[in-house]
Amino acid sequence: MKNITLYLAIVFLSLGLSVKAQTEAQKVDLCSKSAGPEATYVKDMIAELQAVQGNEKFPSAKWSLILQKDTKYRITICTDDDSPGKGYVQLFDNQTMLGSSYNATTGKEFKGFDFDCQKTGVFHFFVQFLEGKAGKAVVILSFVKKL
Amino acid sequence: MIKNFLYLVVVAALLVTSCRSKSTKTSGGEFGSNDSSVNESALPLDEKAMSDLVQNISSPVEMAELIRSLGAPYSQKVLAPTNIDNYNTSNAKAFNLGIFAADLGYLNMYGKTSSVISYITAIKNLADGISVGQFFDFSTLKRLATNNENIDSLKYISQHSFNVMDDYLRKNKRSALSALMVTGVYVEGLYLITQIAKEKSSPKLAESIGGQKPIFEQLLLIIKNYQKDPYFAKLITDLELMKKEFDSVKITITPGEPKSVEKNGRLTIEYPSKSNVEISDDVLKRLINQTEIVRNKNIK
Repeated sequence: MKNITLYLAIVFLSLGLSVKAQTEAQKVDLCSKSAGPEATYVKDMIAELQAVQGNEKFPSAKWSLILQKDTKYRITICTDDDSPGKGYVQLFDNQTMLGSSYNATTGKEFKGFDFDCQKTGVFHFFVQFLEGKAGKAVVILSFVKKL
Repeated sequence: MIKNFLYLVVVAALLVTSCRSKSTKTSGGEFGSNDSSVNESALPLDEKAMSDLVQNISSPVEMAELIRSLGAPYSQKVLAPTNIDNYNTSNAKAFNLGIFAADLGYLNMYGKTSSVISYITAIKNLADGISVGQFFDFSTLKRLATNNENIDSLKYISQHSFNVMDDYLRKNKRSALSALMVTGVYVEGLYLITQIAKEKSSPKLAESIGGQKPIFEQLLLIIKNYQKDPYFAKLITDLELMKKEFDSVKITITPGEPKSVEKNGRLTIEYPSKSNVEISDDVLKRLINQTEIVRNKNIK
């Protein structure tokens, strides 16, 4: 009996681990494809955030990436189906916000945005979830073309 | 029944713990002797800070696309030979994994699937050598390349596998190897571009090479974090020769305000803040030469 239980434990655990890993890779794959046929995958970033506590600032995930001059990039965000909050991504050059996939003034949401980069350097990506809710999302950076 | 259930829970807990222990052991013990000899506590920036530092320093895809945009014809002779037997340390394996990843990006871009096999085989062997081979989807890549199937999938899986390996190294206190992989991609990418410049001169090409200066500076900053390791110290000495030439490249920024434009339901951020690159013919020539020396010195 102990042997059977041990065997089942190993099988279930192995299945659980592989399914989890597979799901994350699949999400990246799907999100990458949703960027369109003209976009070539460069990098993925996975944000998983807790809900905001009290009056604190909304939690955010940050990545600093080098982007190259004369390049059109596409930034795509895909929020998990079971995520409580809807994710949005913002792009910064130092302290200057260049754009966001969510327009707070109009309430309009985009699946992402294209960025026409004219200088090589470090840019910062921030991901947050609407209303400071908890959430999980994949962000894909794709190359579209040289300008 | 309850006894069996408790037994199941204990076994499961032990298995989870053992899995975690194994990954820790892999990063610090089994391969610790071959990895960078620098102790984490001796690093100016610790592993956590390093893993949070700038990412996407150099991606095989972008390097390859830059080469394509320059309109250069394919050349087999510029690629690194896949003699992996000469790479015996983890550091050398990681650096050359980056070299081959850049070459793979180049081959994928030109659709040279017949040559891809030897590069993915070399990458797989080097990746196994630094214990990240499980993240390199060799069988799928081999099938795609052998059957000359979907080049887009070949590009995607190549780049994604590289990112997963890099990410794993960063998150498992092996950021020194991640830094070497990225340096390998950068050096090989720059080598490929400068070889094109050697054959034909154009202002766009010169600007593309000079424009690599900010990336090179970031890379050097990261590499210097590990300068106590003899492999890194030697590499830094080599890279300093390139830095000397990059120091003569002048980059100025024309400021501009960002603007979001919506067209056909797609949002585009236009940001006219622009960098202007000035590089003299002499500096370009020396940079081409130094890049070639550094690259050839570090491959076997």
